[in-house]
Amino acid sequence: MLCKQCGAQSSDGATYCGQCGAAMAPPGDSGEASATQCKMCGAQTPVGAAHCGQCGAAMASPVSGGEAATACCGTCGAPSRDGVAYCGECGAALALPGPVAEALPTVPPPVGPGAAGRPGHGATARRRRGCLRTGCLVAGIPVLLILLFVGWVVAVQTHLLEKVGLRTPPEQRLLGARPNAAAAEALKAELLSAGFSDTGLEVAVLPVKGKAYNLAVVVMDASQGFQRSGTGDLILDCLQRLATGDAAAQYAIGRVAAHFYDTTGRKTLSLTAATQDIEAFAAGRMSRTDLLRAVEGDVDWQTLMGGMP
Amino acid sequence: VNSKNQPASIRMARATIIALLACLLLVPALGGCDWEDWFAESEQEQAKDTAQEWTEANGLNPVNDDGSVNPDGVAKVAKRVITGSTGNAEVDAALNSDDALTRIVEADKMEEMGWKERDLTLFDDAVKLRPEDWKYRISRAASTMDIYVAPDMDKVDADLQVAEKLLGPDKQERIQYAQQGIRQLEAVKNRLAKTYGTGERGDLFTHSRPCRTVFSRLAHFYSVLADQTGDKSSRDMAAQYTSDLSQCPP
Repeated sequence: MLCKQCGAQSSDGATYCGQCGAAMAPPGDSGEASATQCKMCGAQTPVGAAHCGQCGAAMASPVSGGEAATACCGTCGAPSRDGVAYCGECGAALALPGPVAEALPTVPPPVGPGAAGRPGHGATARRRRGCLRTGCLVAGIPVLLILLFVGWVVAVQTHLLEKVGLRTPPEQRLLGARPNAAAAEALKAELLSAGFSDTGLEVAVLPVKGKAYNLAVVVMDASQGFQRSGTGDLILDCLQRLATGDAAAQYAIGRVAAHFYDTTGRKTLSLTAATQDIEAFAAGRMSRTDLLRAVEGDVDWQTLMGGMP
Repeated sequence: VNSKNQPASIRMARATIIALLACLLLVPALGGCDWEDWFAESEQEQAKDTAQEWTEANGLNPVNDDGSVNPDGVAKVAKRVITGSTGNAEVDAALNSDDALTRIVEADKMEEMGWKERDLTLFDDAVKLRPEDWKYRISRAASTMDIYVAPDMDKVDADLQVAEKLLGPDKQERIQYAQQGIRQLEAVKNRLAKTYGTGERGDLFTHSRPCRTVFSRLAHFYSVLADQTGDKSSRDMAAQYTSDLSQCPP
């Protein structure tokens, strides 16, 4: 039967046009419903006849008009020809290659008998369900997980959680109490006597919350003019002097930390160790390698791999 | 070869070179330089060497000596980068202790500017930077009473109570605490009660809350100082301010 809207041929009994989706006239509305046209001679032949009554030519099958039915409607299961956008039986949108499917209309369904609107009802939802079936989520979940992972690493490295107040940094939780100025002065005096310069050198003694001991902190900032006369391992020497000097025992120093900033003001190294480990090393009870293993630290990998300026 | 037979120009050049070498040797010696310093590594090179030695001792190098990737090192470094922690809060705090120092310096600047500009918001900023440090709480309480004619005494009392709770057991710390409290509250008392003793009653004695807060807290600070130092005059001052509480209106 022919579509009144676009003139395309559709299978007999189809409710909607397979080409444009327009509602077809119900059977009985015209005489065309009971007859079909012979392709050879154009004579009207009753539907279902295998051969033309006029010229004897073989008639096309009712469904495809000579072409093989290759697609089935996902809604009603009726066969449809290749290339048609809508099911001729129920009007549902058929699964089509990407660009064609994207071009499908999503207008509301035709309202009332004889309405010529396209059968867009539920088409978007069906496409979404189709997306689920075809694995959009399967591909989306790993991408989402990767994005979450990258986001987490960025948040950790930029201290984003601390900045927005979702987490209190450990140094604020544990080192918030008033620093001991007298202890810091005593420790600084020991470092100055060992050749450390006063400029670019900061020393503080911070009580550790919940602990009976203090943390001695030294910041050596070469960008502020820090220097040390003499030779030897600067950082380990500094840690050793902080942990084993007279002031360490007097002010209950239980842990020491040293930070080094280069001439550009970039933090290149932070090391911390328990006082007892350094004492063991100083007393010869621990090797240098074992001490370094006991030391915890942070290094600037960029500086370490690329070389300091 | 007899040098006398050489041309004068060659003899001059030789003498110049010898003189230059002598100068090069004499400059560091006369300048008090240590030969070790001349050939010593810079502080940065020493720090880098220590960093390399530390990463090697802990198997943290992502690349082996032959240039191949060290999976164990990569995994350890990746774990640190992803978690942002060593797994020990105390160690994490020590490794970021330079940030704590920076915050102290910032808070001190805010406090100093607050006194200079008589701006209470700067004290608020200082307390935000170091919420568990009693120093900025006492300063904010004293400045509130110093700046405002009718200070928010609830806020003042809350700050002083929190400051007392934050005080640790260390003797030096307790002395610092007492000395700061005495210095700042004595200044407030002197300003508010400047007519006291001349027969007139200053502002301090016309309002109950500020009066009670100033005298009770001064008694407390002197008492803490006396406990730590054993100083009799501090003990006497504590007793005096306790009795002065009766001067306050009900």
